Amino acid sequence: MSETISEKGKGMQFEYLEPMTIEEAVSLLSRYGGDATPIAGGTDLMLKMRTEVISPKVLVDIGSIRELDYIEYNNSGGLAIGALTTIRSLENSSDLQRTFPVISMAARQLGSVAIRNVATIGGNICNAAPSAETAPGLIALAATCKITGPGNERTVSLEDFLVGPGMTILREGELLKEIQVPPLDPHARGVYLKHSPRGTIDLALVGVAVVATLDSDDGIFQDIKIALGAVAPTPIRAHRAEETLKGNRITEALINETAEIAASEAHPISDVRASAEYRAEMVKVFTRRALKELIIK
Amino acid sequence: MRQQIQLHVNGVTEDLLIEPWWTLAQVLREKLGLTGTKISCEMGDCGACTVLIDGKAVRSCLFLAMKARGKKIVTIEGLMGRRGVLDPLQKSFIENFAVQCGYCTPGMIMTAKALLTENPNPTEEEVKEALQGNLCRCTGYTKIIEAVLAAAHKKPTEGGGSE
Amino acid sequence: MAEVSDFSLIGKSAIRPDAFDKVTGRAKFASEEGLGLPGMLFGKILFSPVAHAKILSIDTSEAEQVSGVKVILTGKDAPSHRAGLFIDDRHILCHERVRFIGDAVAAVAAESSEAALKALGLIRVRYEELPALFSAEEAIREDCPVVLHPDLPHYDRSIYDYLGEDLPSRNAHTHHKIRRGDVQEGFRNADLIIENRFSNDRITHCQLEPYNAVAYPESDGSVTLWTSGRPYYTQRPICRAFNLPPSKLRVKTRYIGGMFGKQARPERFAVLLALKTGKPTKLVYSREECFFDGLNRLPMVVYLKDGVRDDGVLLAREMRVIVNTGGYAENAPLIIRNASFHASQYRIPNFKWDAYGVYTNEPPSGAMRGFGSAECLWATEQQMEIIAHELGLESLEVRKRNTVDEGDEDVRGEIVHSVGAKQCLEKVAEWIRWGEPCESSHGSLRRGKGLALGNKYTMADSASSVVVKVHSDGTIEVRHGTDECGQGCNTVLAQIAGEEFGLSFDDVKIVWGDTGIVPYDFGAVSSRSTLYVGNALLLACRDAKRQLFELASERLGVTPQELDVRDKEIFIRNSPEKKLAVSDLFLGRHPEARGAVRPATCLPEGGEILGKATFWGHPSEEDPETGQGKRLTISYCYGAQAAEVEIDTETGIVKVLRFCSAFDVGRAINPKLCEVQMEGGAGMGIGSALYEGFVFSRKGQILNPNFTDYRIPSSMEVPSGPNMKSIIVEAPHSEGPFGAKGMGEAPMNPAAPAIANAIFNAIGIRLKDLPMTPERVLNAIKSSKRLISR
Repeated sequence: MSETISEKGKGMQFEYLEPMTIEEAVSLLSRYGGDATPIAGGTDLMLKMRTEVISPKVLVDIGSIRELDYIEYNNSGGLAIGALTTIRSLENSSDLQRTFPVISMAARQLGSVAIRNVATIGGNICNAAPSAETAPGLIALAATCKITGPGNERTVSLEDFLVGPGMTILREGELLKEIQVPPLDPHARGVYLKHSPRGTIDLALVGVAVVATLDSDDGIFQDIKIALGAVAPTPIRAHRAEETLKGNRITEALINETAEIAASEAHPISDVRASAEYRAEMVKVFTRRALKELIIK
Repeated sequence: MRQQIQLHVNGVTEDLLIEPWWTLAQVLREKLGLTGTKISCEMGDCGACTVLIDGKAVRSCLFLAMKARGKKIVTIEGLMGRRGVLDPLQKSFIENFAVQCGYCTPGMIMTAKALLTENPNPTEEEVKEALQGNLCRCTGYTKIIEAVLAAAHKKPTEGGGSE
Repeated sequence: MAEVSDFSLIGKSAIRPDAFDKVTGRAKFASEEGLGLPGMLFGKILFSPVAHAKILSIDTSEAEQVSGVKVILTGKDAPSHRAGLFIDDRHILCHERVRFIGDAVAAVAAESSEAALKALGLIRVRYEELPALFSAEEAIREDCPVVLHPDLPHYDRSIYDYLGEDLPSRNAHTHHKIRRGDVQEGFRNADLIIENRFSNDRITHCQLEPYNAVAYPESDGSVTLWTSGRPYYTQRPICRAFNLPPSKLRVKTRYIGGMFGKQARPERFAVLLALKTGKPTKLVYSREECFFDGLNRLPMVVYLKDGVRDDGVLLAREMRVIVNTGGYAENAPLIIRNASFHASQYRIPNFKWDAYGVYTNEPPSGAMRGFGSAECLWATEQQMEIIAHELGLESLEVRKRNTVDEGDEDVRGEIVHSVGAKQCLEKVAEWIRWGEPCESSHGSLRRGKGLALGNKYTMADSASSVVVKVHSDGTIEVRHGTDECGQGCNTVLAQIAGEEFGLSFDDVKIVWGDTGIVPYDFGAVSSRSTLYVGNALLLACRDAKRQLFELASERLGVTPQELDVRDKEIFIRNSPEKKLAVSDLFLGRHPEARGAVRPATCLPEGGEILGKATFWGHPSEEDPETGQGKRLTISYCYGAQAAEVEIDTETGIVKVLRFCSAFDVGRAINPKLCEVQMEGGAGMGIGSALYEGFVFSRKGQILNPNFTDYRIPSSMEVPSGPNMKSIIVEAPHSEGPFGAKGMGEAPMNPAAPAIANAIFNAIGIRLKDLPMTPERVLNAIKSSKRLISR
């Protein structure tokens, strides 16, 4: 016997507030605490609210905070991206395509154009889906997140920022302000490959990002970072796979071995989209393909 | 609590009293009588709700009406412009048999409009990629792609434009 | 048959008149009905969250307190009798039991959809869960302990009641049989026996317009119902569900945002709520609701056994088909009976068919484009390839050897007529360059080609009627009861009417979508509108013209037979300069029309010029034991499709690179409209083959009831431009208007087996279960020992 109440309920209902500055936003989020949720583009949040995964009493629309929309370089060539920069801006930025192509490559593969026009990098990261499109590439770039809040600003690695499916390290009142990427070795190359049945418009079954510096004379990866998406509660680094490759002569066998190890480091689940076994196999396939693509580059 | 807002839709400033959780799609259809914009999947997957906001394609079913304040919104009804002449895309869709049941058509045309504004001479592959987020169940897309390419090859002086 | 050049509109790709409204956003669908109307109530349904349970109690007291809620109804407030499309097995709102996740338990009407939703969340239902059954093969067993409809033996069947005979078990509600010749003898004489099991999963229409309805209760106790489906087709089941006479239920629609065989679902709830509240009520399904309450395509398991000669000629075929119809039968019985028509394309002297409809606790399934033929062709068109492969023969040849010719008798005992099948096969084979190898593969990619022959019948047991009015200004108005759901029937009918009266589109008005105004029609199903409604229209036009010519003959001094009409003028055929305007026949132009008689737009006698006609199929009986009948169908659209695919053998991803369709449409009244049906069918077929399928939890919950995880093809999945070819073949049908026959469904039917055959050609692996997802393809590759490499 079971008593069930319909899982649907009030639908979306909230008080709507629109801060114009970061300080205002932080102040509102602190005041309302757990009753409030910030909304950026809303393409993920609207779905969560409609299905009542999240039911905020107060919606803090930060979408108008223009000071959070930028792509800037510092003197050493490092990158700072404002949290409200749209995915479309990242996709189309010719500077980014030249300097950090793995970011624009990932942006290009997120949903459809209409979604990319509105979705923001901050939103994509804070939504913290295991398959978040922008995350693996940024993790492979050793990106960090600048967080602002009622207390001091703090910076954490993107890996630490993403805590679990749908969960971030943000405390009540805090806001993701900026994503920072350290400068890259001039010989570094990066690639992000996404695997899904219909390509871009589907959620990734598996995402593989590799950023590496290749010494083409020696055929050795001097530095390599491999990040995997959709195959763990958060996007993860494949450390053992990296160690297998780093400093060794690249051969077909080594690439295959690396791919196998990367697959073993993933712990995917079986869900409506794919089985765990298939995902693990795809980690192998796409790690191998990503590495080969970097070598050809 | 309902809020008084203004939206700029198809060149007209509209005064509205809305709940903050209403989407732009709902407001367009239910409050402004602009029912050309369709609601179909409510998750942003199908594109039937696509409108232009400041020239960019946007899913109006995922866009709070509150967020649309101060922006230039163009719906399918606004594509003909004040002169009442069909946009080349609309004409091309008619002439190239790109319309069947018509439910995906407004969203499809708005997405194509955003494409041609940004990229006036796209390749077939570019058209297919741009339209990937607009699902159609009737046509199999072939004639839609032909229609967009045909519209792209028209001279810019033909046809109407949006405000 | 007359040449296209003899006609002004027939055979021309006339631009569809409704395209203007559709590209400007002016076209209205049922979705638009009642928007913003003051006093409109909004309905929402509480659907069961469990697959099989007794309803112990329903407590609506808290829900009723929600501000704006007008009424909350449960089973006791809805009609107590069961009704159904073919078997009366279903209540509008469940009485004691729920039978699938999505069965309707309560209905709420409120002043806003927010209030209705809020009320839904407060309704408390106590269920006692019962063991649930999801597999049809389990449910059909005699010893199956779970019985979903214990009262099945007492359920009424309104038509096709013989389908309720010889049921193998308590969960089986339908059994259709065909017995032709002697299959055992055929197998004994065969050089080769091939036996296989095929299955196809549930797919669904995914029409872009979500199901919706608006019901207006009228002051005389009748109801005006707006549907996103078919007016006349919807009228009958709603009338039966509510014991309303048809005269008390007026059903209306406008343009329909995609049909593909979908049924009316929210309509019954809108009517229920409107009758109880006395207020207009609008019900719009969410996309999720469209998935579980949308009567998806029937999942079928097909056991197929063929006996063939060593030259590939079929001697005997035995088919056992088990169909999972879900919690209620709905229209599954008819689909199960009609699925066997797929076999009409080959000569099969000995044929045994047993098809069973079985209840399970999955959502009820039913009709989708193809109506059972697509599901069966999935099996039989792969089997043809297997046969050819085993015998070392070329499969196109094997098909041609077996394909029926004009005048052959098919497995149902019908004489086939208008058979363009072989030309279709030849055309697609030519385009895909059959026999030439594919481009050589590189890396992990492999290419292959495949083709398949398909068909879709149009049923003989249906009727259409049409009225044509000649207006006093010489324009004409066509009133028909079929459904414009995008296929362009209004365009084709305008072409026919325009041709008959010598008028352009501007002078032909089409009126449709209202049972209160237009005459009866069975509706846009079975690919029948062009043939049935076209014929009724032709007859009605001729009836109207007869009236015109009778009125004009005296004035022109000739017999009516010597007259013709064009451009709103009636003229003597042999001396066309002798004519009079149509408008001259009307009262306003009468010499004695004085004063306020001058504006009259009626006739001096007889009122109006109304041409009326019925066209119906004069079906024969079907022998319930043998399935034989002389006239069960009226026409077949035969066709073929060929696909070239590329498989990534490391990921299992299959891409369709090139695709060709060729279909025999009898006569293409509007060639472009035929072409776009083929392109649309190709897209949907590709979806059914590679991308679409439901995923269920172990408890019977649909896990992907949305467009995120139920993937219909986007523009990137379907070939276009030079890679998509659609060819019209014409084998005129003696009963079709200008030789035309219907072709709306057929382009879906050969697609999936053509793609499966292409995959086999590429990698030597045969997938017998739809859909052929990347994961299934990859698993098949891995478990297969050999991989054909080029």
